[in-house]
Amino acid sequence: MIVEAELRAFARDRRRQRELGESTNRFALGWRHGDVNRRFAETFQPLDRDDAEAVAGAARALLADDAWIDALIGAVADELRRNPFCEPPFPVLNGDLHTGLLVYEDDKVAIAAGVSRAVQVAERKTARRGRTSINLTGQLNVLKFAKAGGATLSFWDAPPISWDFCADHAGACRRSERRRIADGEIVTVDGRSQAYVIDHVRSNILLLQAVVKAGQAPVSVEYDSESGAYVGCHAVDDSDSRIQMIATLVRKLGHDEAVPVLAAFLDHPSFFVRWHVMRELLGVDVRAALPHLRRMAEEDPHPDARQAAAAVIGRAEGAVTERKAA
Amino acid sequence: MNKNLNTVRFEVEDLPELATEVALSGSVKQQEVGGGICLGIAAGIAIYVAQV
Repeated sequence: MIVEAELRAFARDRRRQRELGESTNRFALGWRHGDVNRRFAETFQPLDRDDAEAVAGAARALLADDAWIDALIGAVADELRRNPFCEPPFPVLNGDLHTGLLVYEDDKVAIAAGVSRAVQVAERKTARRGRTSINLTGQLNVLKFAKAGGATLSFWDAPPISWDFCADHAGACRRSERRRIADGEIVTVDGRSQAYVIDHVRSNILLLQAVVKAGQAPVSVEYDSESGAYVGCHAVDDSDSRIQMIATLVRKLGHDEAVPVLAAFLDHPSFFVRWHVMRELLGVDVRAALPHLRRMAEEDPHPDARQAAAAVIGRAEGAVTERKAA
Repeated sequence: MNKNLNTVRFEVEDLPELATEVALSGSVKQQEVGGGICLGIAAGIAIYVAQV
């Protein structure tokens, strides 16, 4: 416990604050080069970045032997004992129901350890909520319920989410299984076609989670929990959303280099990024966008992008012709 | 800045959306309990761009 007077003294003491920063950096460096982190890196580094099953298999093996979680807790506890004001150098995951630390991340996987709180789960379950949705995350998930808290989970199936995912063909979600989870059980949920829901829990859940980025779907999909009908989807990869937001920013800034900058993203693998960038390009310079628009209407691999581009071509050609005549 | 007044531009808001609308990463609506814990952080950027 941090005593108030001690905190006040710390807040006034620049030297102690500087020392805290230095010791936190030392701890972070030690963890980064330590046995646990090195083992994670050596496990995932040789794997193909598109092979989701291989990455999930490696994650399952790592979670099966969870001695590393003792090492993690021991290291953080030692550091906090030395310095109660130390902030562990791990990104904190803090949601309504779940609190944890992101302990490892590379381009293929993210591994987190945390606690889902039973009281908050119960509150959420019993509160009047109206309609809720089942979310397919679009990524393979390996979950180790180190302490399962007597949880009962239901598992849901839906059509696989592919790179040409269309709302019209999203189908429906249905419950396939419901069962109690045992302490120490490892569950693999392929979020590209499956989801899970905590139906019931008796006490807090200690959860180790590996989210496989390799082979992930472009979108995460939501279905209505009562009817199973499609509700909507959103981008899985936050870099896709960043590109969209930056494309809008580039157009709003009206910079001379906007056209080549935007055009460079018209071959992006995600269909919604390609169309978003095309809209921004049409907002910058219709004449420059027109050849790309024609190509998109004919050749884009996604039917929605082809359809949207085709719907604008006539208007774009007319606007360019009109300006030439003026 | 682009000062060319002869450039033809469309209002982006007037252009069609995709039949499959895709929301930004992390903008999950009301969700059942479970289903996956989000390990990504994109909200800060969304707020920044909205203010531009």
